[in-house]
Amino acid sequence: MTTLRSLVTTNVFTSASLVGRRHDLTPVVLVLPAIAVLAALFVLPLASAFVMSFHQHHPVLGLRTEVFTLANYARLGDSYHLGVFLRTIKISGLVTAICLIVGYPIAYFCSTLPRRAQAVVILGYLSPWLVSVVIKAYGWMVLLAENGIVNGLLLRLGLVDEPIRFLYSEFAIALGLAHAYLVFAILPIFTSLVAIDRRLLQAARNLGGTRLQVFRSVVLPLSLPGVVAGTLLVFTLTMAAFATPALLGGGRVKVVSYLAYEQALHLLNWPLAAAIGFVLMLVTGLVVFSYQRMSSRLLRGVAG
Amino acid sequence: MSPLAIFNWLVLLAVLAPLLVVAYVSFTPSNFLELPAPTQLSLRWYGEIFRRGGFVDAFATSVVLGLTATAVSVTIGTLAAYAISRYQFPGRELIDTLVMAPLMVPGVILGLFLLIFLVNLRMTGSFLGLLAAHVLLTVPYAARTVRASLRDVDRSLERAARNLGAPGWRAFVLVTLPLIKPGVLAGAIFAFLMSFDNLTVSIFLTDRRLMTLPVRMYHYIVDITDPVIAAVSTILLVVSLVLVLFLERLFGLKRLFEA
Repeated sequence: MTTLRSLVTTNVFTSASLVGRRHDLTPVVLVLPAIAVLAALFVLPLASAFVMSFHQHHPVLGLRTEVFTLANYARLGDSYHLGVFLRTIKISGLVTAICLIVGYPIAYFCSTLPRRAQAVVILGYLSPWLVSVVIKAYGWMVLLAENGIVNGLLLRLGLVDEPIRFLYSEFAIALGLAHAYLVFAILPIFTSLVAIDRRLLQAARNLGGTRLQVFRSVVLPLSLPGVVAGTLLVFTLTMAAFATPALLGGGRVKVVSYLAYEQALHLLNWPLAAAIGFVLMLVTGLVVFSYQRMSSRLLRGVAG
Repeated sequence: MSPLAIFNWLVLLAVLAPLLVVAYVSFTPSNFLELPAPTQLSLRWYGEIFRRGGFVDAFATSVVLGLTATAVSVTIGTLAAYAISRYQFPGRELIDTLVMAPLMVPGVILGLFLLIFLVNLRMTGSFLGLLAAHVLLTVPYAARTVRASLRDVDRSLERAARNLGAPGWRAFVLVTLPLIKPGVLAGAIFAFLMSFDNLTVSIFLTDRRLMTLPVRMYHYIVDITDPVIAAVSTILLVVSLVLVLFLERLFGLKRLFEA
């Protein structure tokens, strides 16, 4: 069997000749459906939304495609829209910080567990990701409502005299987002911690380092790439999160994604909605870009 | 127990709490979400699902949509994954990036842009528009999962088939496809889950007459918060748990994230 297999595999068609023939149209035919779908459903909508963002939404006449204007973008600079953008950045920054501060010790703890236990604990943290956003938001509503479980406990323990209004606030949004995206901070940090060569830690201990010293000068620097990746993931995901802030903010505390939704579906102002979409991507991109520049300098500093 | 361990279990409890609470509330007989704990359990709200606001219709829409989108995206995703992992051709890298691109753009933006595109085509509120969006959403998951399993196939088996005279497509159908079948199935389940669970893109493309289950649930709890939604949620929790465990046995969740 082995000889037969080596006989048929070694000569004639080597892998090079299988993949390297020129003018073979097979791969083109194979990827054509995927390209067609992506071009029609991804590239074209992007282009048509870009054009839309320069049109005008007339209060009486509706959509006017013959008009080309920068007014939609200019409107996003007024104090109302600017406020919503700043609130969104503030909430995302806060949630990212919470996810890192809570996620790092958890990732560290998981990295010290035996393999089987690791899988179980990680699956536990992954579970919110496997559940619909609506279900998660509903769970928080049950917990945080004025006649909800948390207030019930606080009242019975005598910690408060009247129920606290948790829901429909920036606090509720931040809590819901941190819950939904915590695992995206844990996973990259966990991965970079597990990848650390145990012999380095042993060597540091043998050289007389205390536990804290070993952590500060070996473990922490080596896990920074995971921290950077986690930061980027959580920040970009929360900047554009829709359902959690919509449900836990109750439409009263608005973030950018809700603004876009409201304009597109309630007010039918598609040009403004499109402009909001592009500015949201731009703002997120700018924050990510400056963070990456900052962190790469930091990481280089650690390496040197 | 070390402080670190205590911290970990406390956070894990907080992470699981909202999910457990939903399951618990679904079995309460009362109309509102209050504690202290009711003395008896009831299946009242599970019965109410069938009497209230179009949950069954929305569920049917979601299933049909998910299955159709999965069939389309697994087919084109498998073909593209095969081409990308087995052939060298100009633009290969670019196509690889393009296939993953829908994952890089947030759902709100995708939904919004697709809505505007459909407005231009005068196709808003159509099943076809919704289906197109879900194909776009699920292609990356299908392609990624199939590619990961193509990587594990022993290439010498494919080469042997070619050397024995099989043309490319026969070698693919007779040798490669049976070998990657678990990967394709996993990709299909993953794609279906992503379609079935999607709210953010769907909410831009649905209306009163055409609604998926997550969109129906969203509009329901914006208006009313009674335990009907908890009953629906609990059923979905169980279904997705079963599918995920099946996915884990079949393919390994870890590999889905590595790929």
